[in-house]
Amino acid sequence: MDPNNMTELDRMIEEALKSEPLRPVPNGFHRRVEERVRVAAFASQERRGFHSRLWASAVLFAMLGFTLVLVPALAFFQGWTVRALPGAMGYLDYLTVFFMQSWGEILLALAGAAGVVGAVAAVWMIVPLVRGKSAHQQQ
Amino acid sequence: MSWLQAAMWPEVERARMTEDSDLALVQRTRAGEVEAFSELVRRHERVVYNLSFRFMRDNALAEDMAQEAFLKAYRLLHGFRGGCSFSTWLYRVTSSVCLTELNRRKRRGEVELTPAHTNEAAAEAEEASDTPEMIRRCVTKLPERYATIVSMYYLQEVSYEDIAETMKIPMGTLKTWMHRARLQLRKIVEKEMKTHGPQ
Repeated sequence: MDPNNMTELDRMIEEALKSEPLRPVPNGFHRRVEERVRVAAFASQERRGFHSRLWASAVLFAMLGFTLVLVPALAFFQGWTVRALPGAMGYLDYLTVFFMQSWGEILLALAGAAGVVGAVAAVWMIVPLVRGKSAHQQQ
Repeated sequence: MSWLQAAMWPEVERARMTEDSDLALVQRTRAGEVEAFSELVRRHERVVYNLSFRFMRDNALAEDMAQEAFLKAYRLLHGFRGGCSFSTWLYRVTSSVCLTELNRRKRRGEVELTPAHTNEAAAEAEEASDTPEMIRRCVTKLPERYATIVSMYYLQEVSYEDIAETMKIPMGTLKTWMHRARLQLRKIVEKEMKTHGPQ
């Protein structure tokens, strides 16, 4: 502001604002900020880990589901591809009979495999969460 | 191996950090070193706290807002491109945190601050009866952008260039805003003096 155009009030305002002293930072401020930042860092690390595990599990389950659909689909449609190969029709007949006769056992085996994969995925996701929680409590 | 070095020679590590530039510390924080951010806090806590105080005019609230500002800065650090200095960026974050809180309080009708402890209340009342303090409080009644530039301008450690960079405005605009802010502030102070009388 131009000092020549300043009124008494302007001078008072300028003086009041300029003379405001810098206040000292409260005791323990740095420690409190540091603690909060550490918690935030830990939380974001956990969140990232959880998301990656979640995505990996989703991909695993999607692949499993795809396999479950693909196996019977292949069995159904493979006639298209094997018809051109010599002796393939006989093999197809063999496979068709085999699948028809042992479809129950195949489903059971697939369900068993899905169960094992599911259990492994559950342990894979839960164990780090429990470990992380106890580590956080120790902090 | 930096974690091993930090664990074995904490003093050496701390000394090395104090020599690092802000940008180097930002990069180390991004790489997962919380200690590097701690050094950034140590460097800027004084200005950030004082800037918060000038917005909030209350010690406890200023501390809360300064803490929030550092926490927000930590969370947003991946978005800091280094186009301006870290301090400038940090002042922008601090101003934004304080203005958001002030707006929230205005919406809730909590503009008048009521300190929790009687001693603090008495001290603040005494402080408020002082004309310079009354004038300083009037700054918070200015529109957001004007309150921000006035608060920063009178905080000795922030340069004019830093303010323009923080607000993302050209220097000419900053000067115009400063002029308008002073005119508005004069009107607010006059009104306050008429209402409460000069102390």
